[in-house]
Amino acid sequence: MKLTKKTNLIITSCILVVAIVVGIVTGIEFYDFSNYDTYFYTGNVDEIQKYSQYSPLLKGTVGDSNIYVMHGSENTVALIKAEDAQTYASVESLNNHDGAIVVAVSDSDQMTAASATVTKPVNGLADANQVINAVKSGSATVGILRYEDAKKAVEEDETLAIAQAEVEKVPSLLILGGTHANEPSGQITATLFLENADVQRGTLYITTETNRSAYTHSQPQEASPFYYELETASGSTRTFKFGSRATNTNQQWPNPDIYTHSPSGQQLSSSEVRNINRAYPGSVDGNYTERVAYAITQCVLQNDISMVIDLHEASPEYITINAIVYHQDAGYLAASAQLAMELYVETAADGTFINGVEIKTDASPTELHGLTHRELGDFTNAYVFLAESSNASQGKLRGKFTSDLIITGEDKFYEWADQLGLLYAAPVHINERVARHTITVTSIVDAFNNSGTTRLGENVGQLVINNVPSYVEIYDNGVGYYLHDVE
Amino acid sequence: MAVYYTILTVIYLALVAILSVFIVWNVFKTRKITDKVIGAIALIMFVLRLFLIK
Repeated sequence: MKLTKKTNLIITSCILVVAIVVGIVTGIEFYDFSNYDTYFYTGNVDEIQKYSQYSPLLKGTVGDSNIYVMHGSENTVALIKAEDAQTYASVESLNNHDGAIVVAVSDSDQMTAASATVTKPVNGLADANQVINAVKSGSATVGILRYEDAKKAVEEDETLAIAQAEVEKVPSLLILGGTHANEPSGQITATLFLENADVQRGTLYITTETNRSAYTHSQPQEASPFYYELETASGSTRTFKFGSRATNTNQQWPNPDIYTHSPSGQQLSSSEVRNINRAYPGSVDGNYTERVAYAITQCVLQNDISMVIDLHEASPEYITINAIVYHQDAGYLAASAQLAMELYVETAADGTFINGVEIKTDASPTELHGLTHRELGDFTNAYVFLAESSNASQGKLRGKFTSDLIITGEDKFYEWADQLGLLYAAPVHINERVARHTITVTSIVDAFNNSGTTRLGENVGQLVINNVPSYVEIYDNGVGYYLHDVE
Repeated sequence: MAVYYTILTVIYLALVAILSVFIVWNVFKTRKITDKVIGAIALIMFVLRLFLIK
């Protein structure tokens, strides 16, 4: 068709106007998705740390994610005057503080151990109130009592503080959810623990958006939905984001031709440079993903965390699925957890007989670097595990990519592939994937509690986490039942 | 390293902007409707990239 100059101008303008409108509409959608803050209930949380505490260059950036900390109500701590916080910032200063009058709760199980760490213990006081009043009045410089009582005292009186100095060594666990933002059951399981766990003894650290930058964009060329929703017990919905596997290019660009992992020197394909699970142990002034990984590594090191569990999902055609990958020093814990899961027997409300939760265990390859189970195991003193469940939306055999697929895992092509025996594990509903991750975490904790011994051989006793729903409860009620409504 | 990446990003965005201008120019210049539509579709990606939205 021959166009006159005027007609050409009109047609071109119309086409460009349509393009601009489409650009604005999609731009707004992408922008809103990028800036959408997922709600997490933090009513059970004692402390919220930021990654930038450990990796300063992250401060003020989108990847400066939260680390939620929950202290055991029965942990033994030192109550001090807030003005003395600096004095009691370390164990050494607490032990060597001359002239400190220390009072102890007589019925505390940890009293003996706690008293042994301070200079001049005075035993025999009856209850927490006496200890609190002694510190308040100044007749005692340090009071030893349960975290639950100390926390209440600090909330009621801002002149009091809980000493940073460690009085009692307790076990701790870091749950990493949202390492890969396109593997939803990892994030949802971490959220389940965040919103339900009642820590009785020990310390629980949780990240729900381990690589937060990856939640600000979607996986290129996958046409994935931005959001999916879970129904809570009250019938309202919680919205979660479905992001990308990798850090957003807005935070880290360009990709090198070959990614050389630091410090191992291992070479990987270029796209892995933005994969946080190839970036550990990270670097304080490395690329953006390395800085995020560095924050996690430092969090584990500085808090002397006993165990790390990194929650993932994999496509059903991938060999490492329904599996626990463990650092070599954590082999006996992984095996013990596997045994407990395989022996798990329950009958669900719909009559389904759950005859064990099938799980594989794989040792972390010593020459594959950058992953949590390798580098956090090598560079920290924690027992480190990575768990995988079966996610159809991540696989390449799927048909239409919808939010239903993320939740139900139902896809006719995967059903067909399963019938042909081409899959390592059939894709399942997110309830079952979260239930699997949850029982993996609780089984590993139970395995640790059999000895209560850290990798360094130190006996720290049990990590007691209550109020976590069981496999069959999540299977019966759905994971949404255990999530709080948005406030 | 941060300065290097900043300079690189500025160059990258300048290239995206220049290419966007060329695409618009080409959309006006070409007489084929299909080429105009293809150019307009391509332009959407370039503009989203230019503003670092996607």
